Amino acid sequence: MRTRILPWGLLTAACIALNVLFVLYPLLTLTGNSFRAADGGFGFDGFIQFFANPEYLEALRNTILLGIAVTTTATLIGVPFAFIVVRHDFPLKGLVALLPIATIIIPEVIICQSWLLVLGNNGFVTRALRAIGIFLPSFYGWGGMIVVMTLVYYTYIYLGTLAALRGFDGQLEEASRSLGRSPFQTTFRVVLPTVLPAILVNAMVVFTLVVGNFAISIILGGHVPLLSIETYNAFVNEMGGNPVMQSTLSLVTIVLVAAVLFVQKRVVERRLVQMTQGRAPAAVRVSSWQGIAFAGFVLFIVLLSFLPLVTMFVAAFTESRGPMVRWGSFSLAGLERVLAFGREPILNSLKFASLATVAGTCFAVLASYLIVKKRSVASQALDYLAVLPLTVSGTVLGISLVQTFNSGPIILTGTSLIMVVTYMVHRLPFSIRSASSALYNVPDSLEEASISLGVAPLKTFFKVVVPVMSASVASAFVLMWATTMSELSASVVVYSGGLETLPITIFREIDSGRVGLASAYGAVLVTLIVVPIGLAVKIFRIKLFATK
Amino acid sequence: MATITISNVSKAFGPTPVLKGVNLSVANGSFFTLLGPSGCGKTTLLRTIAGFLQPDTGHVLFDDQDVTHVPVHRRDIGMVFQDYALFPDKTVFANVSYGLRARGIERQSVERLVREHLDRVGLGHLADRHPAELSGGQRQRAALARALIIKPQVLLMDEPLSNLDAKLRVTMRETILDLQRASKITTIFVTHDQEEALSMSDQIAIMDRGVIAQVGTPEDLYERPANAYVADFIGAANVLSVRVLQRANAGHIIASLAGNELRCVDGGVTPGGEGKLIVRPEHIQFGSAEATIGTKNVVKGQVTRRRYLGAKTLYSVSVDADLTIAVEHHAGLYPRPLELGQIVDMVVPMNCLVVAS
Amino acid sequence: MLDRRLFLASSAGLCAAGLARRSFGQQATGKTVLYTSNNTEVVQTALSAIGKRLPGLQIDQVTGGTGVLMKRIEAEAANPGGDVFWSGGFGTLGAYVRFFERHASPEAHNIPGSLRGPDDLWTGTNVHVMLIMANADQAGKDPLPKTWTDLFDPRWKGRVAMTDPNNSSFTYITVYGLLKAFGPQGLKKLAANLVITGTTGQTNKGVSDGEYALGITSEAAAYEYIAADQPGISLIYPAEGAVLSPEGVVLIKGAKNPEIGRKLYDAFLSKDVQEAVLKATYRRPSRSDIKVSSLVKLPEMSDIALLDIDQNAASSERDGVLSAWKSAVGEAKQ
Repeated sequence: MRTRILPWGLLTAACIALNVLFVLYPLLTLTGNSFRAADGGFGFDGFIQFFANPEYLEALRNTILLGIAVTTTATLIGVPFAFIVVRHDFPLKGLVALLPIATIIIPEVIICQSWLLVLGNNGFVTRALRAIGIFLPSFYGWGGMIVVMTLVYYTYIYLGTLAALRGFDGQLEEASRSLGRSPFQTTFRVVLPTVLPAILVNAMVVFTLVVGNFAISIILGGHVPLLSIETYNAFVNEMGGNPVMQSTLSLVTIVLVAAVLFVQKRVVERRLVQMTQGRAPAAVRVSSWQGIAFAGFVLFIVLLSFLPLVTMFVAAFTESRGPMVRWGSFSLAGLERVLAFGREPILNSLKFASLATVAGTCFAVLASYLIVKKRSVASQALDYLAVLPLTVSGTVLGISLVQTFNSGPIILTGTSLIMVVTYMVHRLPFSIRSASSALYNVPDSLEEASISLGVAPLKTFFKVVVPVMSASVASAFVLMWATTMSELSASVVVYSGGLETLPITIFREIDSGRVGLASAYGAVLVTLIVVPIGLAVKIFRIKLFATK
Repeated sequence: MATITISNVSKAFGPTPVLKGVNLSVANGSFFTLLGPSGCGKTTLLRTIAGFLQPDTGHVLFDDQDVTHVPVHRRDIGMVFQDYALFPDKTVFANVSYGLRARGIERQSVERLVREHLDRVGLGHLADRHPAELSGGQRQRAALARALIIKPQVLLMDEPLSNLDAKLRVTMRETILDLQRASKITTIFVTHDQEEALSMSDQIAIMDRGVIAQVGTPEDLYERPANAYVADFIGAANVLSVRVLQRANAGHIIASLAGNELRCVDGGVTPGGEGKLIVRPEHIQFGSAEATIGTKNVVKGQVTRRRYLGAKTLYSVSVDADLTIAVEHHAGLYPRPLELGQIVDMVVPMNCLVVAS
Repeated sequence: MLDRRLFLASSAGLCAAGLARRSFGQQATGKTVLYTSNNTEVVQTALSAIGKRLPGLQIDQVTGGTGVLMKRIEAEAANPGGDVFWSGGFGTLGAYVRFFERHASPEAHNIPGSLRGPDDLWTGTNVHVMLIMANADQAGKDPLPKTWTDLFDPRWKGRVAMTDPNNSSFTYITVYGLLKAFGPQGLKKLAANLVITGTTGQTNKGVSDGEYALGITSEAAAYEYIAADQPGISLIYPAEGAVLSPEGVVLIKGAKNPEIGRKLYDAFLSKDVQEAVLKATYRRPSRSDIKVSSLVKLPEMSDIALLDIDQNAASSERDGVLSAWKSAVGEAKQ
């Protein structure tokens, strides 16, 4: 179908304009600011300072090390997990469906603070062990960060490996076995190498997430210098002044992430094997002791993932005084406090998240339609623009938006709009990808049939294309709700008076040591995230994590 | 119901020309087939008539109206697709009523019309199912009903039976024809299956690399192919190199085939030149030298291959080292098959065509 | 189908109601923006008490360290985002007076003169006592220090936390006091042992969590942990004298809601609010008519040894002091 100027050409132009305004332009502004000298002219001051300051270099080194460490541990958990789940049938297997909920839907702020309740210096496990003479090392620092990040990010590797294994053609294994290799050898020599690129792709995604991570790093980081924290601190310290270091550090972060993504695209994705007819071997019912071992492993991981959450809910209903939680004494005081003082953050969170989710999903559906179905040079440009935010962590994104819209012709700081825009841009690549994958499965003939029956192209989009995409769109909508409600790294940079959200409130409470009160807020946040999702999933029958 | 006129339509995709100056006329209410191998341009032509493609030059007319630049959704066409293109999220009822609802027909009429059409295609009991729950044949019938119910000027069908299995295909042909005759809608049908084309069409246009090779009734095309391409595409044909000797009376010529003189119909050749003799395997008779005025049109050869197919037997008869002729005999006419190695006299009928090489 | 429509309709209805409510809320009562460097517990205690005095008042907060918020106020001079700032150390406030608005509060006569800023540009609300917070478990075999000088001992290298004086008015005044008492050499010895944290919260939590053995922090912050029965935590009032760090409330110049801002300002100086804050968070009030020891288990001010510090000088010498500190830190690293 030849694209006419109206309406699709116009819409493509509009989408590109929005993207340029809110994504490209801020990033360029940020890049420009990193080359500012003290007097305001062009200069490499920022970079000179970066390389001269040993703490910055240490931060860079630590960030890379942390990335490698977490990626490794997450892979070591995620991959075997996926193998066990795909190939075997054992009791309690159904529980694994819950896992992504624990890690992806629950905000990182909450996960951190829940772990602190358990293993922090006043955590109940720590105290219990202290009582019997075992002194656990401090949870802050490398230990805590690696543990919590692993337990959050392993899900990405697990889901990615799962999808790859599900598409794996079982006949390849049968061929290997018929040629004389044992099942075990087959797994290592045939299955693993083929699935490896898919694993690597996800591992690299995890690496970039670790590099850009804010919540876990700042809460549990202790005094480990990290790139994301240094960037945030630079932002805070430079407020009102020359935004050089924050921009320089942001640029370093972007380059690091872009380098990894580049390697991923060129080296790894090329090796992704396309299975022509992937019929995965059926799950094998395992023998009793093996079944119990697997069930035990799954149960262990599920418990580890959910335990902190449960702890948090208990703490929310427990009496707390200042920084101490008085385990065992029930109290509603925390929740009363939340309802008395927390009304504004609650309303703000709900308002920004719902606006961003609705607008973001609509934009994503439109943009993906233009990219997939109305191909043109312009829509290709839109495709690349839309993917840009992937290279940028929440903190850097927030900084770029603040720098751009703090002055000049368009001032957005201080308005709700900047919060909504921040959320939308942050999640844009993800939602466009979801919508696009749905569209690839919609044959052109469906639209043509509708048009031939007398329904104009624009109306056809709404009456035929959107309904067929609805499953993917609903799933993306739900996930976007969860992630925008729990967003912290960009919010904390962008917000100002009256725009405080729940995660920011929780972050402040944790920073003040008020773990009990933070738990009360946390309980409210999790409820506000999960209940609408639960309702929507039930009513609209959405399959949340269906592997495509 | 409308006549369709294609006037000098050309279309190129990038540097590759796909349609070259196509001219066609489709009579009102007829069943017109576009036939040809993949890549010949038949689907492109259909989509141009539908409006999904704009021709580079030329016009498309429905009756007297030039619709070349009218957008698809205003051309009042009905279209049936190879993959059925039923809306997966809607029931059969919703699918079939889709076009009517778009035209603003009020609810009760819609209800009645849909029930009627569903019954007509035998899907009355499946109205509330979704396409995923239907078989291929049922889906095709639903797609048909959806296109017919809006009473379009023109019905366009793009290889609708290609995805069905053989037996179903045959039954569906009947269904489609019945519906078309009842509704009298001008229909253009695209296929690569010549049996389908022959059995269903009022007129067929055979296409060859962007041009129309021949237009005519099935009988025209089969019995009187205009050239070697058509002869070869429809049914089987022997295409044999001959030398044109001289003109004869009544539009005939005398040609020489491996030393044998044959009297044939002149398909536009010059005496003294080369030509291609086109004769269908089943038109070649064996027998004694009866019949014929003047030349006897007899060619002697030896049976080198025999394939028994029950209702008919296929033979390869070798005339000389370079010339083998295919012969087809139906059991009804020739109850006694020939033996391998048997020497036979083949009689080539005098109405066989010789065309320019 | 009905189910879904009902769900969507009710969600839309709730959203609309929520958005409408917000705008209604703003019309009916007053609104003001508070910039505060105090932790959530303190703020919420104060705001609860204030809520009883000024019902229906909507107070939006922006939080951050004193230094950070001062920079923000400076950056926003042309278009102030806040109305009131609470609370900043006198030493820090002095450098930013040109962004403050004068306000002669009716409550001011209850505040001692030494705790009032020049020209009514700020008024003290709390007095902090800067001392040493100790975590005995972390100290291990080393005996806890009794004096500031003990803190200079190399055995404490890397085990003492203090918030960056550029960000915190508390530690700024402490650095000022120590500089005056022990000179640049003393400062350097101290700097050699310190781990500088970004926020007061991090210092206090760090000691309580056992990351550090000692922390230079305020009495109120440290006492919270003791009051909460945190094992091993103790307060050390250095023998040479603790450092007094008074804090004050400020009316921001050009505030968008000056009427209400003034009411809020006065509320911070009122008896009920200051008593509530003392009882909940152990922060000593500025008012002279409140007897601390009868309300909480802390010693009376008269019983504590204090270093002699000129608050106004601390304020005017800020740049010099901070650069001396920077040198001390730099030298200590070598």
